[in-house]
Amino acid sequence: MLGDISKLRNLRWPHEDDPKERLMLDPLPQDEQNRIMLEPMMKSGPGFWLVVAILATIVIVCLFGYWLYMVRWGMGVAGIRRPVYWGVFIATFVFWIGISHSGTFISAILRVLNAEFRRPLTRAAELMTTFALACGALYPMIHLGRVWVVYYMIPMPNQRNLWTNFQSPLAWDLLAITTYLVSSTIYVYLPMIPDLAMTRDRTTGWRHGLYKLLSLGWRGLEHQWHYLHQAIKIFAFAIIPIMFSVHTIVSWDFAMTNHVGWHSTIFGPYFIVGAIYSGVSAVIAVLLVVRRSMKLGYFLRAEHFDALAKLVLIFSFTWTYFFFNDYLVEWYGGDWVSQALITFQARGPVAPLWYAMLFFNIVIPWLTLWNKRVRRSPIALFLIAIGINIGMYLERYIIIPGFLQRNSMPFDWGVYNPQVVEIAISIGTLAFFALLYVLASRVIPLIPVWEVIEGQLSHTRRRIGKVMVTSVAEWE
Amino acid sequence: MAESVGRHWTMVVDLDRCTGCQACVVACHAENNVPTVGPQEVAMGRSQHWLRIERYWEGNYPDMRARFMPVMCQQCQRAPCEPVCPVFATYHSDVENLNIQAYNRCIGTRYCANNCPYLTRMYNWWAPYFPDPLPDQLNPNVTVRSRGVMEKCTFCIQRIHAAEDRARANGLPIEDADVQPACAQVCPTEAIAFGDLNDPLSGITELAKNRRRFFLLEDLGTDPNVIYLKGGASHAG
Amino acid sequence: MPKKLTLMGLYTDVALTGDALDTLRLVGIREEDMSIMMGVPYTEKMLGRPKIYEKVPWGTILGALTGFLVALFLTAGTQVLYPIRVGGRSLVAIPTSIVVCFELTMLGLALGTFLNMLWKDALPSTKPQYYDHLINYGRIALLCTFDMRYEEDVRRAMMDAGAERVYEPERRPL
Repeated sequence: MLGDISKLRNLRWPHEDDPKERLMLDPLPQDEQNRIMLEPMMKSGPGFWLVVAILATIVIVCLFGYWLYMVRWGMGVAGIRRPVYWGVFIATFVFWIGISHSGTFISAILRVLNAEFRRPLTRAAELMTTFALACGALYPMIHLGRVWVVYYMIPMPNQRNLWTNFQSPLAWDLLAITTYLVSSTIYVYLPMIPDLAMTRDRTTGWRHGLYKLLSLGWRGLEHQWHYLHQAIKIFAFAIIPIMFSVHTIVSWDFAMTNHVGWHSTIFGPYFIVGAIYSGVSAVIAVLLVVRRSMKLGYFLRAEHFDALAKLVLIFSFTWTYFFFNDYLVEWYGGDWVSQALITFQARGPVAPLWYAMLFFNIVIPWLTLWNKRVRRSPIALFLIAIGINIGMYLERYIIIPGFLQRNSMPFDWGVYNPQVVEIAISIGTLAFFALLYVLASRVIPLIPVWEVIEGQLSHTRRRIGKVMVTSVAEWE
Repeated sequence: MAESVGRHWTMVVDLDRCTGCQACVVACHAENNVPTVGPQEVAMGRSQHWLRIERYWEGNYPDMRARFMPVMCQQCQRAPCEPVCPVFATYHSDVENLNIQAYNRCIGTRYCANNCPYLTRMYNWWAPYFPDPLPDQLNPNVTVRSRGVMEKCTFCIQRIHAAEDRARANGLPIEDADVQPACAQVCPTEAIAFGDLNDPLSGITELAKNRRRFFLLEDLGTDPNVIYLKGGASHAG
Repeated sequence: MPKKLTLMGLYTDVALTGDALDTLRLVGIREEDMSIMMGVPYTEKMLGRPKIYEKVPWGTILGALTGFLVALFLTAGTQVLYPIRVGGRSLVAIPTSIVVCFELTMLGLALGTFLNMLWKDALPSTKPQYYDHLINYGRIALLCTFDMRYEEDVRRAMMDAGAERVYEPERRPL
């Protein structure tokens, strides 16, 4: 047993006092950094292909297989019923849109705030955004009763002169998710162009062809850098309101109804905070795996996860504030339908899930993340991050199929039991996300080396009084 | 089309007369090609009745009473189900002044059903199955819906249209007796009445002014076209 | 027309590159005949170069405007052309139109910014270009085009400023 514990201890990073522990104060030559990033992309052993095979199988069976089964036989194979017309599918949809806020928060908000610790994280996180959106965007199609006519929702001239109803929150969903997907794809692509040029120059064969295509002939001329910077800056500022609007609009799918518990003005900010909370936790979890499996320990260091974990703690407080706000107002209100809903959460069939949500979202982060040793322990952080995502998924599950089980007509209250199809398809999209990410990690350079070097050139150590401090230069 | 007269089709349900016999439910199934879903689906909560009799128990054994309330689509003037449909599959018709459900436009998002506070919207979870010899009984005036499509009470709009056509052909105005939804036609205690509130000669106009009147979930502001009558303690029949 | 020659010098440091640019200016090469290629975005000030760029992102503004107009058409135009009444509300509801207008304006803004950048950077470019792989290995490339008669002076100027290597590049497909 003691042997096992000592192995755990070796998984912790050394303490922070040594300045060399900071990425920004530990520069390596540009080609060396490029090599560290490129090497795992080129080498894919049998372990990698095994993971890809397993994920691909899950995707084919769970996502496509079960979905086709459902399309063939009808929505009846799912557990949804009157009055719970939206179930696991919509809960998972909101979950994925929430995860998608991870990347934008890190690559846009932290960039705008000039937070230096974001430098190696931006692309890996922004890729999570793009892939999470791709998974989330499947659900508005999955949950449709007649998915073969989903194009009715697209605003285009047709023979019946029927257009989309833009007063419907689902139409806003269509626009918002499309806008966010396009913007975030462009936003992950723009800073990638110089790195793609680098990989173009250092590879041969099909990779060279692919990167040549994707890097658009980038040469690093001054005006090219200038306009690239301009575009990135515009995007960093513009994608923040887009990000806020997307999850607000998704929350309005519920808030615009007159349903008890849903018709709440707080849903917009509540969902945004929840999204960033689960998103940043997901980034921690994914990047810990990436760091380990692709040996990117040079780039992704304890300081980054420490900073992200502190962010997660802050968002845990914020989420708890919004949750309590929503709960207290309902609890205090007094009207019998809201009271029925409060009782339903605390003592009804979803009570175990409700308490589990509070445990994962509040109890665990508040008890652990204030501690620096926990924040610098990969295993602990990984488990806490996964726990937070489980807790946030439970939150969506309680709000969506949970709240629908109570309404103003007690004769029509109902219990929702998710069926195999719904769980399988949700697992299928999780595998799809993982598969996309795993394949992308071998094709797309995950670390923006030019941004790391830009940061390293800006950081120096200088003396103030009796101590050496880190000093950051402003370039523009 | 001839000049469209602004109708205000209204249904009055007298809860003091309702015995909960469910004849209206059966008649609605027969008239509107509503399928039966089987006991397993009903146990799962997927009963498909455009018009359902809600039953509430009052009191404790042995002094128990059953209260009945027929609930169907309230054809709200400010229907919450309409703005949320992304494809305009449900909208308010200016001609009949009813909430219309266009089956072939519905893509099955089920948003309208979530937003109906009366939970009157029914969904086709499976392809509707009419075991022999039920196909012979299907009403040719009403579409048989496919799976994935939302449906609900239409105030028997096919009968309204037939009556309007006949009246226009004969050149006579519509009278109460000309148009009756299936539920009103079959109710043994005449608990359901139907008519045009804009027509001063209609019997509905008197019934609607009855001091026993109330609307279901009135404070939501949906402005329904179904008026319930109940004297006495509780609101259910 | 005097024949033109292009030379490329590779430098390991931004300070050396700045010195080389100064020396070349003294030799008489015009600003627009010199260009820098680098793998890390040193600023123009660090290199001692003028910053004359289009400040206003026209593509962004145009894109946002297009998005806004499309949104107006979709929310107001379609309802005016083919009215369908829902929920007892007016045909064109301003609060809901605001949501649609915001989203499509931002979509237009994003696409406009991207296309603006591609246009200004002349990307994608498929023609063979002057380039050197070593840019990814920490070098800064200095390209200058000049009258062939001054080749000796220019070579000497570039070497004296501390170039790792000065040579006549070929246009190659990237």
